[in-house]
Amino acid sequence: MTQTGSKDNATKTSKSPLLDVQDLCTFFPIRTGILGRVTGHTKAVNGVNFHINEGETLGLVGESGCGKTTVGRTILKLIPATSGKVLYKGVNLFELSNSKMRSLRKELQIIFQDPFGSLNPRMRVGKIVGEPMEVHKIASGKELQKRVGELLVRCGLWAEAADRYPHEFSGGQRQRIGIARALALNPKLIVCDEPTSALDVSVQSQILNLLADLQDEFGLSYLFISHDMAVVHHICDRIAVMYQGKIVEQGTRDEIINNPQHPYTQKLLSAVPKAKV
Amino acid sequence: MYNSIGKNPIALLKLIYQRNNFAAISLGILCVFSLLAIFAPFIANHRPYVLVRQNSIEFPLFNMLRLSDWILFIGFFLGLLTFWFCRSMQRKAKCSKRATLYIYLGAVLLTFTASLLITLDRPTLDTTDYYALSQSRDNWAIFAPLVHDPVTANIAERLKEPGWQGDLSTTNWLGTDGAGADVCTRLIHASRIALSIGLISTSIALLLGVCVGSVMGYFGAWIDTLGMRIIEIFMAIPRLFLLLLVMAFIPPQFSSYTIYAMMIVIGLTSWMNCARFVRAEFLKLRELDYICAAKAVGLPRRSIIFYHLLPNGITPVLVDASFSIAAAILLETSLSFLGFGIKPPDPSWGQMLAEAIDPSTGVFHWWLAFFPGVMIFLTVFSLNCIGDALRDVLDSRFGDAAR
Repeated sequence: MTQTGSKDNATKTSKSPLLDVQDLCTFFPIRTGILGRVTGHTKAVNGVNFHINEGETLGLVGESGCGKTTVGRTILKLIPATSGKVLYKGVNLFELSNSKMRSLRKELQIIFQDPFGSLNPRMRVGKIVGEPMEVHKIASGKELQKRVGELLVRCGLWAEAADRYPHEFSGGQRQRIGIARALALNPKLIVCDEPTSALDVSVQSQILNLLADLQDEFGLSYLFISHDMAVVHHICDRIAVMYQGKIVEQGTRDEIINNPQHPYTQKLLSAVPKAKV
Repeated sequence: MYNSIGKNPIALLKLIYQRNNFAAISLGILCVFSLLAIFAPFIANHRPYVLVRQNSIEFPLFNMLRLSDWILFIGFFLGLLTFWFCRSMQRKAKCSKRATLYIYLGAVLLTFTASLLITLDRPTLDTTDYYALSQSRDNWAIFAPLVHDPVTANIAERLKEPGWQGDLSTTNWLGTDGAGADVCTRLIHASRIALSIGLISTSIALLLGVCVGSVMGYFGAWIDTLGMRIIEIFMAIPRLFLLLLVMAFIPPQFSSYTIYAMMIVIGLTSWMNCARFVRAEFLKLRELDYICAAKAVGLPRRSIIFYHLLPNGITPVLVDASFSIAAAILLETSLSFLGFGIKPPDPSWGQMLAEAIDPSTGVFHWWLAFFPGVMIFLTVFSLNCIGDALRDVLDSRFGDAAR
């Protein structure tokens, strides 16, 4: 079911997907001169189509600067999209009002690449993980503390970590805090924006295993953005390959890894230092 | 980079103290000056604490204290209490941050209102010569260290040179001025006015600057552009001459309110730097992942601005604040030096400086220039030193390597 170019949604099953991205474009204006006139656009994401089924992991791979991260953030409306549709459970996110979007944000979360930049350095961990629950009125007071503790334990930390500041933790531990924050609202879909690329190899596998365990436990879907073919092969059900703002090839994991069609995918795979897993 | 993160103001002061000797000395000087300012009526006053006259006991000094003095003292002790409270909180791992915040706010507000009230009500005139009274038989009294009237002067004692004059408490240690008032007493009482102008005008500037700056930095786009143009317009205003203008238009019957006019005008014309710093920090922080995460979990704008952006972007503002206090004090003294600011009988360093040259005879009295000059110099110098040290401590670029 490999497709190149991509326009139609060939992989659409009878069940409608959890997330359906149609023809998504995100352009950044280039301004020049004193008046800041727009003279052109950087087409970071240019007509991207993919979907994610419930409980599934879609890997989005590509070289740096190809627009992977922009796709992830545009889906969550952290960056305004230029055109296209993002259907979550059949609802177009770009047409939602701010208040409706806010309540939907509970179900769409993100884990970041840089474990050092993704946690507010002046907040205690308990507040970082607990604030989303407080704001969405999921829990408060003692109940909140208990839930934060449980979440931290579930993510491989300890309940007392809630009283510490982020800088007291190592990179892997911080990434676990980031995961706990994302999990705090019981999301359905998590955008994992290269969650392991800033970690060393032994910690990488721990985090990947944690993500896999959490997926089984909570029935999560992942959009897993990465440039590491080995990691993607390890965790993803399907893979989409992105190149210069477009998805050039997508299919199941084994199809892409074993039988890449597009020349860019072939190059990407051959560039992996012996990734015969 | 995290050395300054998660630390409260006390820990920050400690860091300054450890790192920078100059700043430590400056902190000491400022502490002494603030204490002098707060307790001025207890240090230099011709009224005794206690006066036993024949069979009755009187407390002239306490009777003379105004409401504003009391509030100031209460605020001071509340501040000390907060200090102690924070220390003990620090030891416990778990502490409710909100409670500390409220106590802080309370203390700050109290001292704020107190210093606002400082010159609202002038002390009543009391020309009784308590010292002579206490010298007579049957009477005795406990006096402040300096027994001189801060308000009314004794013409007979005008232009005395500094030095020992035979009596411990009535000696004019730093001489007297052209009206016969004790220079030392006036210096102490003037530090109140100088420090309160510095603090309040800077608070006004900070409040305005942080508000404008955060709106500009958070929303960006055309709001930012508009804000920057407004800031540029304000920066083009020559502050000293605007102040001169405002002072010139204050009618004589309102002359006791000039101090407020000064505070407000200085505050309204010095918020621009603060706004620019906050804006720049917000623009920088806005792109960071944890702000993205805050947006992704659907936190309201108020939480993002006040809990995520502001605490991380406030450090350059703190540095700017100490410089801006110094600038405000300098502005006040220069205005008073020119004769447009604080007018006698209210004391001011700049105004005392101006009296050093006798306008009629042209004689230069060195002690009238030297001592107020030293006070101005020390205050401004210390504030600048502290600002410098704060910058070193807070700047993440130096980090732990600078320790």
